[in-house]
Amino acid sequence: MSHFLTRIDLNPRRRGTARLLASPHRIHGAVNACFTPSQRPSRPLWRIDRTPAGTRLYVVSDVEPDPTSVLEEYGWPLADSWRTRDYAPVLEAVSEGDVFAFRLTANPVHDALIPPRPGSDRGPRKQRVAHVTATQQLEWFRSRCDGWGVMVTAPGTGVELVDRRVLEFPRQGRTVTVGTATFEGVLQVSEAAELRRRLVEGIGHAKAYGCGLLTLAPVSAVP
Amino acid sequence: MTTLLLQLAGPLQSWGTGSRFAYRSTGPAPSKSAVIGLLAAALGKRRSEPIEDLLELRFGVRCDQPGRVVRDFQTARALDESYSLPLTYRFYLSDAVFVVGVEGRRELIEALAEALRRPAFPLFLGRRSCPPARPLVLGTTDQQLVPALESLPWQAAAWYRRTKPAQMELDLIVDAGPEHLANDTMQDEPLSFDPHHRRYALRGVHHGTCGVGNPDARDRHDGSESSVGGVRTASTRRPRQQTSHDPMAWWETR
Repeated sequence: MSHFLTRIDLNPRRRGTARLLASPHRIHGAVNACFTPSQRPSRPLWRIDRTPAGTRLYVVSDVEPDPTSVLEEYGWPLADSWRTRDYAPVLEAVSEGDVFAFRLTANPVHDALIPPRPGSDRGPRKQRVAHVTATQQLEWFRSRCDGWGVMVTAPGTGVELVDRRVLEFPRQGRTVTVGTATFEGVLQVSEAAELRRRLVEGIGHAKAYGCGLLTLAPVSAVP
Repeated sequence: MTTLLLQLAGPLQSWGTGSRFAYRSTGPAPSKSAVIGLLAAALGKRRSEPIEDLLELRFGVRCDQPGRVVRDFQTARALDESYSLPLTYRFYLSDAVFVVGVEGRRELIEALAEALRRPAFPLFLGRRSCPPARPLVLGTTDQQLVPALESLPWQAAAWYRRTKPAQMELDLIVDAGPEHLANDTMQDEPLSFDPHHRRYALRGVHHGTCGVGNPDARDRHDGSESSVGGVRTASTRRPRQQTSHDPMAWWETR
């Protein structure tokens, strides 16, 4: 199955863009609007990057998107401000031992044991809660990255936490809260097949809300 | 000559010099008239009594912790509620610490130190509502005013010191003298506190700075964010800015 990587520059000066960026629920809708009803992707991954180059929306999907609606509402419709590329060269380039620069925005969580209320005859129950501190979030990354087929402990590699946010936004009359952390650094591939799967299927929870998309770049491209 | 060192520290202080009517301002540092008045109150002098003996004192302030200005808005009505008095704004310095030095004859300085420990009238920091939070007297020394102010350790609060670098420059405002020529004048040299006719003379002052060491400095670049095997250790508290990581770099270089 072929996959596509798409980059769309968002125009932060437009009023609609501010509304869009305030709610991952809306971005999720905008991303889905890039696909026709007859050809829906299985589960598109997306991420907002706030870089010195501007605010950008990245999407990885197994259907080629048509970003017209996003450009018209939130971008520069007439400018050359978006790209979509077949993801195959990247997926093919991944092989064991290779070193890449990466970025991942994820939703680091763990299952906490919530003690029962006093007087209740039930036992403790599990609840998924976000990791709160930078230390916990980095630890979450380091303890799991093995399962994604990558290592960040070899010489010349490493991971840094570059952004932490708690997103709160309304969805169907309720408030959704998602704690996100953005990791950046240099990794080494330890299991190419597993990493390939993660690149298109994503990492962790809250994938509808801009989490889980891991992107790679050639190391030389990173300043 | 002997120098008496005082610390003026409290939740609120107010050092007005030019206030008129409904705006009761505060200066950034204690005025000479305020401190002379404080000494006179400690000695038990009434407002109409002469203060010539205190005017021979040489006066200086070191701003150990500048504090910040807070505003208090007040309303008042007549006792029978028949009319309102003007709305007033009173300004204070909150969480400030000053070191004040006064230099003079040894007998006078020792009498003042004693009087400040057992004041005849209650003492306060510029306004009746601003009691001092620490003992006023730091001690007396045989140094002259400026060396005494410069050699005293930093008196700022511990929480404040922890936020500051290892070497600090404090503002110093002293009466102009042989070693420091005047670079400003202030009209806060009290001639009489008589409520019927308060009079203040101009005095020449020197604004300078004074270096002090900070034993509690927490240097952010002391290696606590050490790198082990290329992995930054978990003490990364403040996330750095996102770089321009570009996954499209596979296809294009821009």
